Amino acid sequence: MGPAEATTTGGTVDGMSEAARLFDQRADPRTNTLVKAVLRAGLGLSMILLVVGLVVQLARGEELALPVKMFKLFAPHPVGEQIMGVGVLVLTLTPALGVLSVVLSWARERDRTYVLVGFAVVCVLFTSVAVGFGFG
Amino acid sequence: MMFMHSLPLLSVGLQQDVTLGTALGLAALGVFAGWLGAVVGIGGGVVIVPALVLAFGFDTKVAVASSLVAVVATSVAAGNAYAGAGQLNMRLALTLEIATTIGGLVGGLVAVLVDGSVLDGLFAVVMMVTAVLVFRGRDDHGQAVGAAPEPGGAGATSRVVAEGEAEAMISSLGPRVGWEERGQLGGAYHDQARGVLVVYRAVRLWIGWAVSFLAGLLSGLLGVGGGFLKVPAMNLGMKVPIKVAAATSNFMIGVTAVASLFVYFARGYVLPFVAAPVAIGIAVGAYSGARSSQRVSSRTLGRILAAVLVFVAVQMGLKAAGLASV
Repeated sequence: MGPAEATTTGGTVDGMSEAARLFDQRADPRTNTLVKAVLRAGLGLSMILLVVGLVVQLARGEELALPVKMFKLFAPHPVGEQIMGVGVLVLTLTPALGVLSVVLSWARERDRTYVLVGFAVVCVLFTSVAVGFGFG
Repeated sequence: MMFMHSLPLLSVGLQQDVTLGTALGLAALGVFAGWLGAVVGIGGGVVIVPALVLAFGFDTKVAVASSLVAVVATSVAAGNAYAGAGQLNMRLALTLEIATTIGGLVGGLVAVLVDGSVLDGLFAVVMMVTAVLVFRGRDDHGQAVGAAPEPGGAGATSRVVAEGEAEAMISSLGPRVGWEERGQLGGAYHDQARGVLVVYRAVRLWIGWAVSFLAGLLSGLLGVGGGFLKVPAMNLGMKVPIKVAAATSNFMIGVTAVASLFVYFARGYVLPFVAAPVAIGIAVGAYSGARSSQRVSSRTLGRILAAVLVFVAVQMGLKAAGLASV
């Protein structure tokens, strides 16, 4: 490796020795591991549901795309459309679950400030679900 | 076909025939948008929405809802890829996400209430702006991340450290290739392309919040990710390295899209038969684009895309003004 370069922006991380100390004390690899697992599982499950639903829909010769409402997923729709609707719901919930998993990791790290920040985001997402329920 | 007549409550007049050919066309659109997004660096929404409206004849709000589903798929895939790569700063993402999700929720609420032609007109403006940004291009992909902070700017400093010290620090990351500073909007990551360690701390949070709210609003209204606003705001305004800004923005757009997608989904603007092939296609396209991006001239492609965006923006503008029918 050639001469290495260390860069700080903002000027508040004072030199690389300070950064090295921070690495040892504050890094928690479990945060990324957990959120990665949640995102991977959500993406995989939703893609399977979307593909299966699409194949079923086409195989049954259904040619009408109908609106599927979030709170009426199991209303009498063609089965392919229902499976795809569940797939869209799983996909929609995945980033929200990702946020929750991050907040849990921070709680484990006792980073209270960012637990509150994450909780605020979760509250906005719950509000959007509640608003959606009001609309639905 | 008889089945639909027993579902009057589920229909809000948005249903549309989707043949096998249409489904394949939607999947192809998703592949193209995902591939283009990975190669040129724009989100898929700016391609998907006008294509669904102008080429496939879907209602604008159905197009926006379908695009939001695709944006979530892209973001989740990118988040999965970046989470272990060190550039994604979750504390920065969720701090800005407070403003962005509020913007997304407000945008979603406004969008379902206003006439579709208003959204068409607004989309035409956003496409024009995107065309300018794409035409100008960005050459920062190969630069050292944050390697040249403005001299004296916000107290930014940059220095070369001894090889042994830097290697010791990089090895101190162990299996981790990234790091976030607990309780702060800062961190570090190992830029493997250059073999450098980049340490940063975000400044001027208010700029990030203001721009993030605007980006969220546009996302909810138009189904675009808004990364074209957030990445420069983080990089230029908050002094966050471009790779961190891009990875963090990629994760954020999915969470933002969810805030407005709940409203569209509950209101009945999500047609799974339309959204599914687009979402599947964009996941495939993004994967393929990431693999082929080194072999394609993103600058040439960006200039062609800019011209296409201007042409389509004019079409959307004419549609908004009632001067063109689809």
